[in-house]
Amino acid sequence: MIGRRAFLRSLAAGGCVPLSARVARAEDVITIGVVLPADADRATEMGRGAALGLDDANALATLFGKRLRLQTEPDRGGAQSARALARAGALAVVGGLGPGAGEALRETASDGTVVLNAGSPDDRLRNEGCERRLFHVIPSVSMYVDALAQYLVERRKLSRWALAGDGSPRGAEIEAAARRSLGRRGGSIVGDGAAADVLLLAVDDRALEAAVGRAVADGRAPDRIAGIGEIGMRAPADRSAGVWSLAWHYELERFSARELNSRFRRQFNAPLEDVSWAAWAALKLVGEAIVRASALDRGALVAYLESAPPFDGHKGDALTFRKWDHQLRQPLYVAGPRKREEIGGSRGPFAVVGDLSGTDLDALGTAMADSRCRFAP
Amino acid sequence: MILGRLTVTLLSLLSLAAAAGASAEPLVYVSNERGNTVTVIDAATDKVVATIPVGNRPRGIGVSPDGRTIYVALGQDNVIAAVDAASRSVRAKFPAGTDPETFAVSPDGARIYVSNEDAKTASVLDTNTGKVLASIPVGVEPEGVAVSPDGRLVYVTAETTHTVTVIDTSALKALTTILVGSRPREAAFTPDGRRAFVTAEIGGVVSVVDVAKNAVVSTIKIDRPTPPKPKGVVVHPSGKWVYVANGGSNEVAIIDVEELRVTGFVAVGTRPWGLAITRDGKKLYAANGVSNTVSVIDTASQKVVATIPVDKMPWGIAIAR
Repeated sequence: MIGRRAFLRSLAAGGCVPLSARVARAEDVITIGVVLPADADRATEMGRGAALGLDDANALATLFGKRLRLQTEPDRGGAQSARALARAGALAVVGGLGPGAGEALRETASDGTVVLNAGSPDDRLRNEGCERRLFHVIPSVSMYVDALAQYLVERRKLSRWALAGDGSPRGAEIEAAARRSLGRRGGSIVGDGAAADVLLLAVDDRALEAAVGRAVADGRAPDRIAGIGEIGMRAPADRSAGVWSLAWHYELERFSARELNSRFRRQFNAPLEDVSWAAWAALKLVGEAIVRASALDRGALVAYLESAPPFDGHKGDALTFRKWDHQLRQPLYVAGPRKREEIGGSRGPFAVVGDLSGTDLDALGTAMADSRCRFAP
Repeated sequence: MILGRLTVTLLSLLSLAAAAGASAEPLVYVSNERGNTVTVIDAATDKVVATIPVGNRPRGIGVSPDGRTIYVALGQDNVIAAVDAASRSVRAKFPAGTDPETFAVSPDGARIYVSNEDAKTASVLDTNTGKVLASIPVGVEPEGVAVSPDGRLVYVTAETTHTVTVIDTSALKALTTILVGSRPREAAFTPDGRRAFVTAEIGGVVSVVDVAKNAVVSTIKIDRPTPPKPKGVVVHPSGKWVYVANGGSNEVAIIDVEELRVTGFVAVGTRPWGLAITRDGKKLYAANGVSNTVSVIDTASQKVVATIPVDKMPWGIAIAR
């Protein structure tokens, strides 16, 4: 297994060509661009998912005379990197991870490039900030919060939530999503934390670890703290706490999830998590479009993705893009603290406690009637 | 006295025949993935007559043409176990590549073609020597294996690449690849070998392949209120109907082969996957993995006539002719 820096170098050198080089055999080689975030760890996560997705996409594409190639660019701020990849001929660009990256994808999509969002859960991108050529593989904030509500309110009957906010735009989106979600499910936001069943952390990713620490120090039970996404689960095991809604978990087994998790771990000696899964799925989706629909230009790719082809994300349900906001419908999962004595080896501090596959996928996220997305023709 | 001796002789002969595994009635063998066993059902009575411990994570199951050997893929042990039908015990274990899931026995019984789920290959075993004759690259996450009735071709489905690899059994090489529905699980040939039916679990369809053309000529959508997730597939010995196990909607779909459309559904247990049909076509058996039962369907009336409790998580079914 190669180290992180070496892996990123290999993506730049072995798996793709530098920005300025010409593409050989353009008639059967299709370039997919990936914008890697500035944070090296996050770049590795996205890069690894994209690399496995490329392998799986090519396992299919090469059988039919086509081959995909990755071209990566580090995020230089704004839409620079994505636009550069588009100018270099990438059929589609994958990205969205990091501060401002979601907005950068929106700008790139508005230029006419097909963009797959594998990193930004911002609800705004699915509503006022939507673009017709922007497709969201990673779940939205609303979906993540709805998943928490399905698990905590509907299954565990924990319906009174308090909020710990930080005033950040992400925090505001989480709070707004919680109010909507609880309102639909008979739950409520309570001002008195002591009276709350659950403390929801409505904070930016960068503030999550500290927020978890404060909640624990205040005496909140580890399974009565809730948050969205994978970041909150990265505290050291002796300080880990919280219930987290996820797009993926490395211990999922059903629907060939075990096989996907095994392949990722064998290749990278690391667990497959949300962003890596989303990047894998993005590459695989484009690969299938190229083979099934000969989607070799941007218009054909958009048409294929909008036609809602059933995508196998190893979640047991056919995953399709919603026509009203281009969000990939998908089941989510909830992870909670594992008993200390059971942690060890590949078993980390959090285990899957709620598997929401098989439920109504449109119960997660923004319904069509509530959507503020209006695609330009 | 003479009649008495004749009776004794007749009874002895019958016992010998039974002991040799040449049962007058078919025996139905069910692999139980979590139970690590094979359940044996007498098709005459639809009662369990034995439960055989086999090894770890049994899934694919098949029978030698003479009915004397039951083969079971043991995914965690990386072997195909050969179970002696008469003694009901494992007599041999053949290394079969990594993580064998499903397989098909050649019509002459000389070979077993195995899908190796995590290796992207299909292995070919010699049933006489137990040796691996070839390891053939196929798609990613191979699963279903089917041999054409004349033994010339083997189809291997691949769940992640959504393909069927067509293998030439003389050359032991892949001939071509056919794109089918999303997440193909199993394939079955019609008795005349002209067509094959391939189930696609996420696609919710059955692809109809023209074997001579190596091409999908029709795609049959299985339209249900809940996603059907088609998995197991068998063809009626007459060639007139195809039966599909819908693991998601807990039923068996019936497809008219002439019209290439679904003509009915039979509700069975929870998560039916494996299917097998008796040689006379009268009874269809479905393994219900979550309800730990086997449903028996009378094909003429299209009704369930028995539900048989078996061991944990029944997966595949094979019937000794």
